[in-house]
Amino acid sequence: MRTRPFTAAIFYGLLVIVAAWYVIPFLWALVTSIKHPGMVFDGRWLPFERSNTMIVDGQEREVRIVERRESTFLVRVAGIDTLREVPHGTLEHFSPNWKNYEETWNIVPFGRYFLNSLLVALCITLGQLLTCSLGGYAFSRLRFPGRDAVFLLYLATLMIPTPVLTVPIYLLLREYHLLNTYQGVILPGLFSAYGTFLLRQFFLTIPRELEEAATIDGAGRFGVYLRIILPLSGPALAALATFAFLGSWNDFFWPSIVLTDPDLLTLPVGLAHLNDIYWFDYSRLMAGSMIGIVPAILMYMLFQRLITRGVVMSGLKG
Amino acid sequence: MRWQQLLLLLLVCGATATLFAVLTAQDPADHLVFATWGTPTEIESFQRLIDHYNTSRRPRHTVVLSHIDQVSYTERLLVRAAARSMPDVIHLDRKDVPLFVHRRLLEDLTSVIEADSAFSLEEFLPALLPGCTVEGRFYGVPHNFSTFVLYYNRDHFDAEGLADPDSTWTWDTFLEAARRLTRRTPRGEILRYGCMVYTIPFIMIQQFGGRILNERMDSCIIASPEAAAALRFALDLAEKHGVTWSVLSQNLNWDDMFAGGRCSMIANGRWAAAWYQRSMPQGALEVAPLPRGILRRGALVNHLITVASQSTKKQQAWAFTRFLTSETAQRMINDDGANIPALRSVVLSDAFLHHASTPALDNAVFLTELPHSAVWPVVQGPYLTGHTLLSEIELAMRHITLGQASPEQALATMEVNVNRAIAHQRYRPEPASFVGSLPFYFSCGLLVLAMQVLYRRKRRRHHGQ
Amino acid sequence: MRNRTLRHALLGYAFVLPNLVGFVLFTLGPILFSLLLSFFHWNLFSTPVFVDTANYARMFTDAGSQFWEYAGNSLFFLIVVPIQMALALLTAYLLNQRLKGTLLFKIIFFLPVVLSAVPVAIIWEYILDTENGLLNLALGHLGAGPIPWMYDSSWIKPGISLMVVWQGAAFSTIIYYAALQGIPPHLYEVATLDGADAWQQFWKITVPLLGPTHLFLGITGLIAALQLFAPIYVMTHGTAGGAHNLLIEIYWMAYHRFDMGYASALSWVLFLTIFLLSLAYWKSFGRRAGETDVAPL
Repeated sequence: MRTRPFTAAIFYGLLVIVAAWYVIPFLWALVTSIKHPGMVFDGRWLPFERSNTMIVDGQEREVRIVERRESTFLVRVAGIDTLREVPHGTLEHFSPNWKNYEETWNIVPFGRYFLNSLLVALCITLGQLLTCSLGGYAFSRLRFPGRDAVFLLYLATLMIPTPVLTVPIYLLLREYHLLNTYQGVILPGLFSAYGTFLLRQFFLTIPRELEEAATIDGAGRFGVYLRIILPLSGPALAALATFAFLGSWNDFFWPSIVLTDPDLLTLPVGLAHLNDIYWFDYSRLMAGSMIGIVPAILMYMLFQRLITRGVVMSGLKG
Repeated sequence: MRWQQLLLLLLVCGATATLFAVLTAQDPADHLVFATWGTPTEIESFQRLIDHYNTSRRPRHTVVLSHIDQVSYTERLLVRAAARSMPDVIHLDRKDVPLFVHRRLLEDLTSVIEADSAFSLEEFLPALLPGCTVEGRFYGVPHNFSTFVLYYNRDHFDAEGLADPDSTWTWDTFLEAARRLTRRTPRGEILRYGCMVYTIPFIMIQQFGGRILNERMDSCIIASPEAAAALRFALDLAEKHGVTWSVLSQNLNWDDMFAGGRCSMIANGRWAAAWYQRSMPQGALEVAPLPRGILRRGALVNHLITVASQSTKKQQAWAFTRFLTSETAQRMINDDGANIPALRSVVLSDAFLHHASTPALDNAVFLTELPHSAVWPVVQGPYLTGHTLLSEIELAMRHITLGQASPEQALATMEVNVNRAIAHQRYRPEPASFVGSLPFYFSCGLLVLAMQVLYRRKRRRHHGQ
Repeated sequence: MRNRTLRHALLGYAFVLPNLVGFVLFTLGPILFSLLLSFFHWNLFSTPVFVDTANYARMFTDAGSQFWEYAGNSLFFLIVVPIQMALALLTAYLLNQRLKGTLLFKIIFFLPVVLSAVPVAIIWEYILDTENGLLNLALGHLGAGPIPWMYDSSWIKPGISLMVVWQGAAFSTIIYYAALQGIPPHLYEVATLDGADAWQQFWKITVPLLGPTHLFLGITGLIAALQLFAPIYVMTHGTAGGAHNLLIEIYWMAYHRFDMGYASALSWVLFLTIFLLSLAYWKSFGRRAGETDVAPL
């Protein structure tokens, strides 16, 4: 549908407004994260640094700001009695403070948090791919007593929200001393009723003739699974993998319950810790948030198609 | 296409396996776990103590430091206790001891102390010993402590011609001085604040004659005219007199303000002294006792070393505790300068009184505050977890500042909320009697029956189509 | 013959076993156990005590119980669902207009779906700061006074809702965008020939045809809004104040007070709330939505 230039202009305008609403908070956080201490709340969109010395009569002297005016400072120069008025530019200059990132990285062990998050996310993704594809294949193609009843049970539990599950799983992990360990965070995530459902629906759409052809050629059930079903399920598996990975990478609730040891924390929990300890230091907090966001942005840039397709697939098929 | 996918899969699996191996490489179960909070510097100093212990003798168990962050320290410990993986030796603040003793999580050390002839409680400052007991039994040994003092900037005092603070100061003299010390621009913006006392609200309440918990620490009795007067005074400092910043200004780093010369007086503990000294001009930093109200109350932070009752290595735990209270360890604590060692031979010596990190400071002031000190920030009692009292007082102060409640109303609300929390913790229901539960079982049975009937009817309808 | 069915059955079970074990251990078992637990009183340091319906009684009728307040807070956050959906529909519609250069916009609008709630909450905590937050700075330019977003119990919920809409609209935008592309263009062409303008086409063609999508997004949005945790917990550092909703209460009861039975009872009440509300939504909008046959599913 071709749009007239006038409507196009309106649409562009609206798009820009909405985009601004999304981008401005992010930009503000970014700018704050590179501001110098003491200048964090100056309300400006660029980072400035203020020096406390000035060249007066060829000599560098210490300067103290008495008052800030529209475009000048009223300052007292060391050794000179009368106050002086100097333009802003003499004392302030544009200077991004990248050290914030370095310091924030060191205050809390971000490197460790990254590795922890990566480990947990990878394990959960691989585990879900494995269990859900096996289960999904079984529910879609294999015949065994109670198959439909059990699957109905799966569907019924999809409605149950996670809070109902957390206390008993917590108690279960406590019994086996799995609290505050990697296994404790990973194990409950290895299985997903939703993933099984998704893959089963997808497997149902694979034509039976292909499987029958393979069986005639002598492949057993597992061979069919490996050689026919899996390769054809690329998009669905990719969607599930994306979901599982993102879900566990961004998960805050479950790791915050299970993990207490600072060495084991995942990224979201570690960031929340930073927020608790350095609640007054906004430049560092923003630097920490940027550290938390940037990998997600990178992942998005690389896998944009995959992610959006995964979301759509889960949404429209669900 | 297929072998590429397979390769990717193998790569991912390999990466996962290596990560797993690397990250879970440590912690064999044979270590003694010592838990503490702390800033990176404090953790470093504890690590030095531990390394000294691990290498200086033949320990049968090596000690491992478990760093739990301060904000949720008690919660984390309780969670670990619930998970039956509590640390063996725990650095614990006095204010949390009743809570852990009530849940029987700390080992009673009275008999151990009596039996150990080489260890004597006389070696510690006597004022710290009551903090180690609950109902007469010892549950911890003193390790380090700090009292609060009034840090002030002598340069500012000299510039205004004010006499230095001393032990005769009341809050009124304090307010007078703060007024004279506050500097404004011609336009009215504040250049320098006179004081900062938001660190000690509960101490101020007690100084004005109020009380927070009752004798048995099972009920909050904070709603009193005295406490309201204390809160009114503390908040008026900002609202009415303008000598300090509003309690809503959360993003001001108090220490930065004082060290940067934008605040003249601040109530703080020993840990800040070295940092202030480094950041302030020579000779500007001084300490004085806290002002007094109707009563004289200082603030005491009493850190103990305790042993978990869940621990399976109590012998080794006691050996490590003995080390932490030995002269060597206490000297190392003194050298680090963050807290005050509890051992008399160290704290009453020149090593502390004229400490290397704060040569101009008269550290004896910290000791004179000891005798009449109350637990800082506030004694929690055996039932309150977390920071209930602290968050409630903060909420109360915010409500008052926003004009949503008077001090009396805010304190009354706080009292209700705290008592509710205590009641919840103390709730011990009776097991339901069988007769009383009969309606419950009956309705369960009805429910199951109803579901059966519905299911059968649905099946019949389905088959009937 | 019997042998073959036996073999089939064994093979089937072998395939489904890892999945089934996980299901029983981590889904079915916990559901049943938590139902059972809600009739007990257990703080982990003592032995469990059967208390009949005392937990539920405490929750609903006890004078000190703030259940109704927390339930109200949970229900307040439902307001983000229509706002999110409206914003997402508008955005997806604009993106679908095949204007040039919308790729950048697409990236911006779709991106928040991959972000973790925690850094976003930290950023928004800063934006909602009373003295130095961006929002109050902007309001100041417009002449309105600074609003104590984080401190005042009546402003904290709208503040957090703002953040939730900011991030939550992304998911809906992606779904709406895909659904919009499934609407056959000839419908619009026929409508244009009949003389309908863009506004009428939007309301008479686009919106009704997206019925199933509205249904799906409404229900998922509802479920997510009633289970808000990370934004509230992180922004308020655990002491939720005016935004204390049911899920935060469950967390507090279970992992700070260790009152496991009460927490289980709360979680079942939460589940029932979600279930009943979803059912109500389904019944009222589902009929209209499910009957369109041009649905892009």
